[in-house]
Amino acid sequence: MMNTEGPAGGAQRGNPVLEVSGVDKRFGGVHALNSVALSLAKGEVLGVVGENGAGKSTLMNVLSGVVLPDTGEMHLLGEKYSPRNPKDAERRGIALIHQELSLFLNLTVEENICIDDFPKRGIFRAIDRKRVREIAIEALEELDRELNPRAQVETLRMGHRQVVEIAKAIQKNAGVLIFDEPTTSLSSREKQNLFRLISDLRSRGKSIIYISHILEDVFSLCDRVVVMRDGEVVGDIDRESVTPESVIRLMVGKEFSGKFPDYPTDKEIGEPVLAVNGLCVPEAKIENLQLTLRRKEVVGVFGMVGAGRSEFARAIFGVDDIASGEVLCNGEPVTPLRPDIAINHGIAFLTENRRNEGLFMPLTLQYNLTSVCLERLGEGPLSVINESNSRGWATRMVEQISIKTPGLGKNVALLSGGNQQKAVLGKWLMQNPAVLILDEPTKGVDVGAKLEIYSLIHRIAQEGTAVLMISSEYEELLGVCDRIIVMHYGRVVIDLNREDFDEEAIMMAAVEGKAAK
Amino acid sequence: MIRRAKSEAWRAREQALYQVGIFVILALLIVFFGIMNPRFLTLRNLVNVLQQSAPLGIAVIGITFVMLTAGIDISVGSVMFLSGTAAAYMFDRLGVTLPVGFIVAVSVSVLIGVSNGILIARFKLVPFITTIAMLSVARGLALFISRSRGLYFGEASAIIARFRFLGLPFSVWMFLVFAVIGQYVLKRTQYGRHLYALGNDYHGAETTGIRVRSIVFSVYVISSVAAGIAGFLSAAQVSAVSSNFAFGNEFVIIPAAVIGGTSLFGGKGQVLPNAAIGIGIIVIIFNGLTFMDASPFVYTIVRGAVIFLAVMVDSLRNTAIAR
Repeated sequence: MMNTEGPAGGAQRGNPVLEVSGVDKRFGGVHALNSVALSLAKGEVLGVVGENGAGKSTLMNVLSGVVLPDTGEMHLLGEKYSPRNPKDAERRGIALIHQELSLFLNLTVEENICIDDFPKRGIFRAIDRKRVREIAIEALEELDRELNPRAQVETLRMGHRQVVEIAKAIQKNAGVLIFDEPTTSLSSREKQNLFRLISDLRSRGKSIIYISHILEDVFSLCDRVVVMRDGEVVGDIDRESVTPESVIRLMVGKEFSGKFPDYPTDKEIGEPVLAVNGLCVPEAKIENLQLTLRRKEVVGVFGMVGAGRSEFARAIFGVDDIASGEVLCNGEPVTPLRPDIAINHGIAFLTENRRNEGLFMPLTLQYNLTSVCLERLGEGPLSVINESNSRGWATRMVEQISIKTPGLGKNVALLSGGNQQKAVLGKWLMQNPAVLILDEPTKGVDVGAKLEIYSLIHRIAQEGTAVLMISSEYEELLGVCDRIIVMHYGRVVIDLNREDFDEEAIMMAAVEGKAAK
Repeated sequence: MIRRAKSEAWRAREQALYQVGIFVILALLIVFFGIMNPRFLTLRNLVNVLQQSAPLGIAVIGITFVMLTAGIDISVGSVMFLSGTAAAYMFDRLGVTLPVGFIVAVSVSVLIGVSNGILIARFKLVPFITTIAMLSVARGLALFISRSRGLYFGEASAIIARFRFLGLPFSVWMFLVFAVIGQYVLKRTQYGRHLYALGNDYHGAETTGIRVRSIVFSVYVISSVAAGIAGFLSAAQVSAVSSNFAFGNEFVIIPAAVIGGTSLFGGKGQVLPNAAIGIGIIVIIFNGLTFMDASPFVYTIVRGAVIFLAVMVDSLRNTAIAR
């Protein structure tokens, strides 16, 4: 491991409100948290940064009782703290303000604030509405006086909904508030308002953990920044000494060797196959995006959450509507831009969400493998499917990409994650696609299976397919791709060839949205 | 993720608009049928409309509870039949008094409701299929009791028919009492607010610590009991239960709730005035059709059309919210 800037090299603060030590958590083969230690002082805003999958969310889930740690100790105000569920955490005064807010949209602001335990009165135990109003007004008092406690939450803007969520936490006397990527769906004015609120909360003695991938925000808001990588805390830096460069240097730098198959030496990239011109998707802030893919080329797309990577891929394949732009495959425009037309042009798309979109879970492996090439299996005027052909094709594919299965009749739901992923790949390979788009092809797959998938990607490319690979793990893109483009809020920041690959430049582009000099 | 461009004020107004909208439709229908046939507007007929609507309205109140949890209860028509039959059997064959017959009617409905509730809340069966199965079971039980012969309410029916207060019949007062209680429970008690919360987000409600299972269980009991009382009152009005009594009523009760603004997707709707308006609109359409001498076969078609419309409006409102 590389340079670790020791725990809080700054001024000694008073007794910590929250202290975490040696917290470990494994999910299957993934070491999500590796003996994490953390401390939080009263009235402190602590920023937590790290690339996707560094363990930030898992750590927050542990703190708020969503996930139970395997080992480790936590102390809250000097007392042992081991929440078994979110309710426990709340009772002890730790509230998590989710990225996706957890409000009931059909209820009013005041009802949401009191939902856990309404004040009641009278023999019928009716809700004491006057008291509910008072509680809500009191909680909102210092947050946003304009907000009408009787408004229905679903009529509110995102920024206001967040205020309600904060009010709910305050009403329960939370001493520690955890914000998980709170600005993703806020407008910039709402964002300023949120930052003002957080500063107010700090001056009222609340402790705050602020998770975000927008470094700029973290630096302007936080007293201290903790950097995570691979489930470990690799840096703990005071506000005064923090710089974007130092943080990014800590965020990158993973172990590399042995995790990737050798890069093919005899690779000759061919002529252009896919051209995307002037693509605009307003919902994903994608504007005038250009891209060319060549035969045998593997192009990686990297970016932080909300950069528009998946939306970009979905737009090319015609899943989501686009505002304008065109997609050309082998020089022919794909129109109308719809999945079935895209498939006819030889474009294949492996979605991020293989459980829901990539496989028919309750059906057999054979059915799934042959599901996109049924037309070619059909015989006679009614296109009756020839069972023995279908079986033969599926058998060859299973061997070719070595899916481990007891038989073709096995339900794909019963296969392991890695084999499921290979089955999705196999399904598209049946088509010999000209272009293969992979969205997070190794998500939820263990290390061994990852290696096999990377080899498979190389082989597919060698056979002449152009591959577009979207990933939130930049290191796998570094290991596999010929070219990497980095997106930031719907725009391509840099486009690097393999010989120019540079971890820090990539991370800088993804985080800051600008190319390093 | 995707932000809505509409302002907060506009969104609030949109909701208010729908509330006003159904009143306008009700008024338009009354005017329309009144013009087509002035006899429609006589006091006598309007009381008649109220009398027909009231028992069904009680069932609508009950099913509103179920639908708020994003569930559905298809068995309500059969429960009306079973409860009416059970009561009629007691009156006709055993000569019991009015209260005893009523208690029997309510008891069998509780039984059906508890079964639905256990299957859905405890064993997680899909409400739609569970209650379709129960529709068949309840109707079968009722036919088993009556041997598919007509049964008569006799004196019990006469007692209820004689009741008038401020010119309004018994069932209308019952409806009002249930509507007020229903509204109060939904709006003013923690149980009611939790019911809405769970209809909006089941898992969210569960993690908040709301006792989701007991609530889901309870709504099926409420729905069944309401349908049972509806069956009793409506049988008392015609003073007999024949083998096709309340047949297909689920297709009046559910659409009435939807027209009244209760969403099939859960979390939205209320008892007053929506349930009343919803059932009122449907009964007025049927009543008006008789004044227009419409062919009896038209009714089923109109009923289908009303269901389509109601579901479409509900679906549109929901996609509008998701946007």
